[in-house]
Parts: sequence; structure tokens; C-alpha cells
Amino acid sequence: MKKILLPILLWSSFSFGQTGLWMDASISKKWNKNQSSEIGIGNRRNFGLGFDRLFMDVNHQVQVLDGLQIEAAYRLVLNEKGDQLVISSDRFSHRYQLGFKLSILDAFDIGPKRLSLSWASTQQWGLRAGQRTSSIWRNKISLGYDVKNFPLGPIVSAEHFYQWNANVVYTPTEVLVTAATIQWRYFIGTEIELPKKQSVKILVGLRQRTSGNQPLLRLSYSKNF
Amino acid sequence: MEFTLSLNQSAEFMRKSLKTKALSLTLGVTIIFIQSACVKKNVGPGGTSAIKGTVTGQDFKQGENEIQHITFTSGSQLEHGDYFLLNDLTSGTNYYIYFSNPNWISSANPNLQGRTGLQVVFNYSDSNVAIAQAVKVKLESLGVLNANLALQQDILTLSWKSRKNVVDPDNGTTNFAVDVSNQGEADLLQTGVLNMAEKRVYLCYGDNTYPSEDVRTNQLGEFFFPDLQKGAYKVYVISMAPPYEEMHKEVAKIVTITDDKSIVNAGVLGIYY
Repeated sequence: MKKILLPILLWSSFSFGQTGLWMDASISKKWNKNQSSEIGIGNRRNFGLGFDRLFMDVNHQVQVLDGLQIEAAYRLVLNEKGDQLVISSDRFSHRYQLGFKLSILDAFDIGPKRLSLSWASTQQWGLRAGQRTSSIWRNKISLGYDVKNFPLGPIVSAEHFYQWNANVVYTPTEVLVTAATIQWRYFIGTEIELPKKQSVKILVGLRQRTSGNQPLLRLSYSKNF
Repeated sequence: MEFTLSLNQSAEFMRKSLKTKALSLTLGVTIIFIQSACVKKNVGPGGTSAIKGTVTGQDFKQGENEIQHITFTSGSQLEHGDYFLLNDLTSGTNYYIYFSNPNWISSANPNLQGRTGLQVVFNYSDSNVAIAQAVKVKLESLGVLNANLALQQDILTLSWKSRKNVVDPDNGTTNFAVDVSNQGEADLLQTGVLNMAEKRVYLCYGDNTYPSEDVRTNQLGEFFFPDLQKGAYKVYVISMAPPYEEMHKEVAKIVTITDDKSIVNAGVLGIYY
């Protein structure tokens, strides 16, 4: 009975309404030992609802110390909802990020070399016509392992979203802006190494927001030059 | 030799590194510049400021024009000296209209105090229409009247030009039928000013002619537009436009938000309702 019930429950969870399918592809170029850039495109959909958004990313990383990178990124987003693709100025949004990524084991030269543990901390600003500028602080812990002589490597991550201007309260005399946690995001999955510096990540995840939980399925392709 | 080669290689590496850094920097600055230009936010929603204010109102009720009708009898039903009363035909003057038969020697004038007498000469053989016509001609001889006169057969209609209550006419000693078909009433403008609850208030962004959003006032007549960006806005309410109830006008204020996280008071918008 359990053998039947569990797959049905899992399938129903991924088949209905809120489940998100995130797909993205990127190419990156390592300019030298310390610097690299990446450009990518992505699409997010909600099963049963259609489009959620289309976006294009550009980012640049600079390694300042062993295990420590700083990163600046920009994302142009077309916020499409449902099955209609409508190009209008108020559907575009812009996201800017500035942050760092600390590869903890590398930085302190501890642990096995095939194990990676990193902390990424990013300040993000989102701008969209007709909406309040969002200011979010994101912190992500990632853990991965490069299995020897095996193309699959497990990866797991947890990310916290803290919005500085989450709540805007208007009193008769003043405006109170307060911060709050707006989201937790978790992923678990595997990275598949492919020939010619290519890789594919297949992840399942969950994001928790005040509006509810959303299961996620994420597929990422990347190629390095 | 090795040393020289090493120095050359080092210089080449430095040049490449600098070139890469310069390229990255230029690319980054260009992207930021272009995007900063693209994401300029317009006046409207998406900010942290607000506009508040209050709507007050004075009750206005449009009055009525008085309409009177007089139906005349024939000359055979009149006597020398009969009269009837009309009021406020000219500014502040009340009249009595008396009938004089030339066959009679005595005066027909009843000499009513406080009123102005108008003599209409008649004969017993005059028809009711002729009597009505004679009265109309007499009234018109007064010049500019407060009422418009219209004669249809033997019915004389007096429609007052301004909205006010006119003291009803009286048939006096005649057998004329006197009727008030529309009671006159003056416009009413209450002196008391009330806070207007549930009144719709409109907000125009920038120079927009038409409203972009609207809210309703609360029980105290207060309104509030939150989440606005810096810029100029027009707040307005629709008011009755005295002296006509059917006409409306805009009572507006231009409000400028200059700071984020600020609440700008538009003040009081006074209307007639």
C-alpha cells in the first residue's frame, strides 16, 4: 500500500497548481585566476498556471582571497503570469545584487578537498515600475561533495531572505518601515558533470513564504569556457 | 636571458590583466548606467510616502420656482370695484388688480393699504379671454417683472424667474380660480460644515488629467493614499456646483511629495453636497 500511496502523494504534490519548475542555462568565462563572468537565461513556471517569469542574468565574480569571492549581478526579469506573453513596460523588473561567497573549507583549509561548504551573503535590490523597491538580504549555506570517479555529486542548500522594507505601516503622523524574514528556500539534488566543462544540476526544493509553501523542481545547465 | 624573458612575460601578463579589468569595469559601469536610466520610476505607486486629508461639506438644496395660474371669468361675472391680489410681481411690491366699468361714476379703486393698485377697464360684455388679455397687458405695462407671463385662452400663468417662496395670490372679490401648481422655495445652504463620510476622493499622478486611483473617506471624512513615490499629485473630490444641483465641479489640491517615508497633508477639501 505504501509503495503505491507515496508515489501518488509525491506526484500529486508536483502536479497541482503551486509547484514551480525553474529552468536556467548559463555560460561562464574565467578571465584569469581571479575573475570570471557569467551570463544566463531562465524561465520559471508554475505547473497548471503557466508562466511565472523569464529572466536574463549577468554577473561578475572576483576572488579577493583564498576562498572568498565578491560578486555583482544584474537580472532583467519579464514578469509574465499565466499563459499569455505580454510585453509591456510595467512587467519588466530589474534586480541588482552585491555580495560575497565564502568557501569555508577552502578559506580555512580544513576538511576533505572533495567536500565544499560555502556561505553566500548578498544584498539585493529589486526595482519595478509601480512597485516599491525591495531591499533584501540573502544568506545561503551550500554543501556539496564531488564523488571520486563518479559523474554525480550531491548538493544541498538552505537560503534565508530578509527584507529590510518588508512592512510599511502608516500611522497618522509617520511611516514605519520594518524588516522581516520573507522566505526560506531549500534545495537538494545532484550535479551531473558532462564532457567539455558542461554540467547539469537537478534539484528539488521547497520555498516557504508567508503566502504558503511551494515545492520546486529546478534544472540548471552551465558551460564554462 | 631567462630573467629578461621572465620580465617580458610578466609585463605581458600585467597588460592582459589590466585589459581584462578595464573591460570588466567598463561593462559593469555601462550596464549600471543603462539600467539606471531604464528603471526611473514615475510618479505614482511604489513608494513609501502618503497623502492624507479631510473632506468637509455643506448641505445645499436647490430651491423651486413658483408657478401660479389664474383662470378668469367673463365680464358678466365681474362688478365695478372687484379686485384680486398678486404678490411680489416686481421687486418687493405687492399688487391688487381692480376692475373698473366706465359706465359707473364712482371710483372702483378699493385703495388697499400697502399695495399698489392696477386698474383694468372692462365691460360686462367682455369674454373671459378678453378679461385675461386685458389683465396681462396691464401687468406687462409694469416693465420688468419677477415672473414670466404666459396666456393660454383664459388661463394666465405666472412663472417666477428666481427660486423663492412667493405669497400665494388671492382671488379677492372676484370669482377667478387661483392655483399654485409649483410652490416656490429658496435655495438652502446650511451654514454648518460636516465631515463627509464615504466620499470618494480621486488621485491623479503627475500631470495626468484623469484619476489613477481613488479611495473613500472614513467616518471622520479622512482619506489616505499610501505607497506613493516622490512627485506632484492632484487630489480632488466632486462637489455639487450651486446654484444648480445637476451641475458638478472639481474641488482639487495639488500636493507635492518631496521626501520618502513622509505623509503630506492635503488639508481640507470643502464641497457642497
